[in-house]
Amino acid sequence: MQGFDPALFEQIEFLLLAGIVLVLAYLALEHKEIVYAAFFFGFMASFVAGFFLLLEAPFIAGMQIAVYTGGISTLIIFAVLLLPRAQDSTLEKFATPRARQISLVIAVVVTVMTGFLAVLFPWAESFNEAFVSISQDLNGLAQWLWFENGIYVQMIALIMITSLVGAISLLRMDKAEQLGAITGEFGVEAKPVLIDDLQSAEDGQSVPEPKEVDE
Amino acid sequence: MQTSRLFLDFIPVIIWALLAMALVIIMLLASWVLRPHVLQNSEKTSTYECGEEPVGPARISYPYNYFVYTVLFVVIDVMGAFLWLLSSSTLLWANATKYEVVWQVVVFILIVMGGVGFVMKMIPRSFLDGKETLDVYRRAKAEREKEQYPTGGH
Repeated sequence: MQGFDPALFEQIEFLLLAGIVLVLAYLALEHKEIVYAAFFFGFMASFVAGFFLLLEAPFIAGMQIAVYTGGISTLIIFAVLLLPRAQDSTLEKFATPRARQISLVIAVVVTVMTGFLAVLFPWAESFNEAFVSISQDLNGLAQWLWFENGIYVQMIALIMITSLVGAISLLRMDKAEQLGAITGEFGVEAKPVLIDDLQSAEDGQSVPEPKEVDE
Repeated sequence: MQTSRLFLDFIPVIIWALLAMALVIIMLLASWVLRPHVLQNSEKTSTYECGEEPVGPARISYPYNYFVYTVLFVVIDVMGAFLWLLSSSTLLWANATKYEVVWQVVVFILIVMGGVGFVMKMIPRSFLDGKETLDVYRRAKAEREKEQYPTGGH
């Protein structure tokens, strides 16, 4: 093709992807409906996979879509389902102008520092030629991961079952707490107590023998 | 200069994604054109419950126990990604690697499946069981009665 410069095409692709990711990330942070924000996070994660395709790393792109768009988005949507709804209730907190200004300043500082790092970092020298070739070759990548570094795969499996055991132990603690409420003073068993002598109760004296109300 | 690029190989995927988006937009527009436009009232905007009078908002907080299923899904997802990488290679066919890698795979799957089995065994115990609640309730009641009548009644 005459006059077609792949390098320029790459630049345009990158700028397009970066713009889409930034807009979706902003929407994921700032959307009023939290379920919509979770969906925008999922879309953002799948567009980030585009970066990995641009870097010619198909396995990481697939991993990004499977784990982030599939797994982490589901995790966030589930968390939204499980938590009590703060939106439109008295629990809802609105950002004050001061908090917004502070967060804007922090965002600008982080952006400028990241920009400096991106410009100053010697990217070209940091790449290892061996890794560049295996990132494009699934067979080579599988050989590197499963054959040469198999112990790390087992470590990932152990870390994953740690998350499972942790989730179960948290639930057991929650259950023990709920069962404790039944035996406690203010649990289901506690019946409303009638105080005959209101004056002495207000004075802080001990109430003789509280009567329980029959059902 | 590299002429064939991976991103260009994915152009059919992008075309399909655009077609999918177009389908959604066309369907939404078509239903907007076809449906009768009536004024909104409380009956129309209420939460949909089939054959029931809706009570409260649709979004309620579910018991925390269901969260474990999502953690399970993420774990299986990551396991699937690693096994997919293995399945797209020739490691388990090549003579040089197959005897070593097959043990790696067996240990990996046993660890993850052991975790999943542990969770499936423990999930029923993590729910607040009615039997246990009743047990604790009765024990607390008996203790309270013992406190009230230390002499053992009449």
